[in-house]
Amino acid sequence: MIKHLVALCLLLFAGEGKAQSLSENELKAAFLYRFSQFSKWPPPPPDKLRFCVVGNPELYQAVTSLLHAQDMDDDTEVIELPNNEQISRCDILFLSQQNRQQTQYWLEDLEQSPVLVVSDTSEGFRQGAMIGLIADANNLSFRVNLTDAKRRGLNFSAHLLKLATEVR
Amino acid sequence: MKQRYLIAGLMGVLSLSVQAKNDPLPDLEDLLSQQLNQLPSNTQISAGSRIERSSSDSMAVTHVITDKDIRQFNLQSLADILTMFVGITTRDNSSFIYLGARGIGRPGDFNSRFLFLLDGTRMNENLLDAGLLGYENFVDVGLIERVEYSPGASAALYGNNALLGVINIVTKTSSKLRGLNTALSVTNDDTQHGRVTVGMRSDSGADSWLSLSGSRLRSKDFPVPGAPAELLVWQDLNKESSSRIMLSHQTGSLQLQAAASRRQRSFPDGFSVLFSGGAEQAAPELETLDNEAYFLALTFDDKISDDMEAYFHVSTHGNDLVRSVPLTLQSGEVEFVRPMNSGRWSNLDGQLVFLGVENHELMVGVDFQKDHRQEFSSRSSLPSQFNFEQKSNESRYGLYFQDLWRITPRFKLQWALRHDDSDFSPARWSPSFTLKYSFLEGHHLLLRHSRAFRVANFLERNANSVFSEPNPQNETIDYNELSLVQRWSDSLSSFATFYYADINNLIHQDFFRPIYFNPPPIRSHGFEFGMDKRWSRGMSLITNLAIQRSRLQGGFGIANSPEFIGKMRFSMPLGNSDLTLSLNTYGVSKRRTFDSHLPGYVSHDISLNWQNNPDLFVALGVRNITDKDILEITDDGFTPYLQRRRQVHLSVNWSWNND
Repeated sequence: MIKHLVALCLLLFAGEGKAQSLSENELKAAFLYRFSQFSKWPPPPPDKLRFCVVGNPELYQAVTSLLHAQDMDDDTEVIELPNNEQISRCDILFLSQQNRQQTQYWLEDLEQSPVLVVSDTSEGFRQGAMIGLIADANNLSFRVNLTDAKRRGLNFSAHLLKLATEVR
Repeated sequence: MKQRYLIAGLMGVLSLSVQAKNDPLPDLEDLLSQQLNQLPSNTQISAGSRIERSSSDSMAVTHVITDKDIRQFNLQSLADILTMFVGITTRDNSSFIYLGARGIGRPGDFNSRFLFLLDGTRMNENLLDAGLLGYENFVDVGLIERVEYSPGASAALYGNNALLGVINIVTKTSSKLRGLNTALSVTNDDTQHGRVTVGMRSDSGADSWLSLSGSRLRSKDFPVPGAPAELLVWQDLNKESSSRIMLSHQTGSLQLQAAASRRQRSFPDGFSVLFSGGAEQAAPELETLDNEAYFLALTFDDKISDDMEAYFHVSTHGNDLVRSVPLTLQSGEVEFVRPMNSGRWSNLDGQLVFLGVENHELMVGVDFQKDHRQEFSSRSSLPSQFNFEQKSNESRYGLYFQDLWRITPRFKLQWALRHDDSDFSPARWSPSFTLKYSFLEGHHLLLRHSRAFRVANFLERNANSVFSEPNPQNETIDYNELSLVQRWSDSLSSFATFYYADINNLIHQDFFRPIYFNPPPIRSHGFEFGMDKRWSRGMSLITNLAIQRSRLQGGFGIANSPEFIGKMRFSMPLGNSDLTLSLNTYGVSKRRTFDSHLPGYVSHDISLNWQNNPDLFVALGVRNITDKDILEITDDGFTPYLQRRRQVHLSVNWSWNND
């Protein structure tokens, strides 16, 4: 009986290694990187992709680490924005944990610039982010505002649109 | 020997962890299926504020059951889902499933004290304001993305029926229903259920799906303990079947939804079985129920300017319930009486969210419901009191305003005020105030006061008018709540709510005549607590406890009001085997009935799930594993009904996608 229990415990313990266990911010960083791969900027394409992160230092760290691990240091730059003064430098802007009016603040000077705006709140998505990367209790999923993206000259691959929970 | 097991286990762990470190970055599809082994910092909810908000920004405690929970615990109906929520109990008399919460589970209320929404569309029907929880509900559980439950009085936003809570069902999109999606489940007591869904996403992003599903319960156990042998002989005549169709098409800001359902229920007439008199029993007469319902809804939801979001909704609904009841006459002949409830109604809603005032999120909205038809009728070939027809129609209006004021980053105030009016009820105002103080990152204190009402429905008005009794007065509730929502770490969160409510005029059916009256005021208070714990291996434990006490003025207890309701659900992956073990435990303390008490009980469910790719999911489980006798009273009679008997179930979900 004890043997079986020990074996069962080890079996359960072994389960830890099964899933590649990413933290929420590591997972968001991975999504962000994949979004950049499935997005197309208007010509001329940016020579160096600038990832800007707002409101989440841990996400900034996770994006920096991920791009380093992917050997993308020369082709990319990660910027943590304290305010919206440098926003025109961004190619990808991740607004983390921002409500409706905070999102408005970040986007007010962006006008029609081709910046891929990603938000991890539904408020941010509704207020102008082109991709809403929203969590439920168990997973992350994303919604796409294709109309807004096209207005800014951005486009997404069919694969990304297919996997989105919702396309507007 | 033990060492050998230990060494083998450690080797396994090491090799797997090395493998994990060398994994390349997952592709987008794999990222979507990655389970969050920690609690997300924010989720999206809408039931609490009638607008999409992040959970950390929400001004109401809202509980959520997701599609993963539904599959993992093999939940078969909306009633099964709602039973997972804190403080909720269900009672099934095999014809209708009743809901109770916050110490209120009045017999025969048809769930009219909860507001039911389907993707924001109001779903309570227009005769009894009933909420349907069984197979008669439009939505097959396989189509549900999540169910949100926001307990407490919410009439300041939603108006009528949002007395004890708001339940919002959010359906999936073709991202999860793409291609061909099928589900089949069978149980040991001859219940079969099947669903076929076809979904597609066009290149432009338009999203469409169509779903057909059907269920058949071929030989239902009689729900009454100690059913006589003469009746048990005819158990195969006690059956139910249902079918549902639902479609959704979304393009840009517009969404079209349509659904129809039919439920047929038949069972042997007790009188003709027990009093047939013949030595050789002929097949008894059958009593039947036939419920048909439909709805069609169109919604627009988008940002219309830099400062404004808009939501418009129009829908039309129908619900017909026809019963066929055999009556054995003195001559021995059998006559069938066919009572029918028929409702047709339409809803028109609009809502604007304005962000133009600094630190304020303003919302104004209107609701209009036109009841084109409210009809009770009965047909019989005999000229008697069984032939009647009562018809009505009604218009109901609501206008509401809400302001969320972010006074400081840590301190918010939300207030709302709604005015309602309708043809058969005086105008009413429903206010609501909520203060939220975030004293630490992830730790929120909410203080809420609100008032809500329920207007006497067509059944209650009509029954009283037949007996020349005045209409019962509208129910009202003064509701106060103090909640603490805390996220202790990435893996542990908790909530605690203390509520106190004064309920006036709770409408109740008279024991001696089929009329409705207002009993003395009820004072209800209680405490709800819950926690959610995750472990990195994908193991999770969710527990909740409700302690509640509801008393009539004078200190008399009320029926169907258990003082303790505890729930616990636990799941864990079994090693590297693609198997997950899920346990669900549910306990309710003793409840008072009209003349006695029903015993408390604890029931356990177990489920073993297997999924080795996103397209195939198999679940095998046992409900009420100890076959505990669970008894509930659903009406003012003395007969308790047996609930949730032991059931072995097997479900298979399979998807085929050619892109």
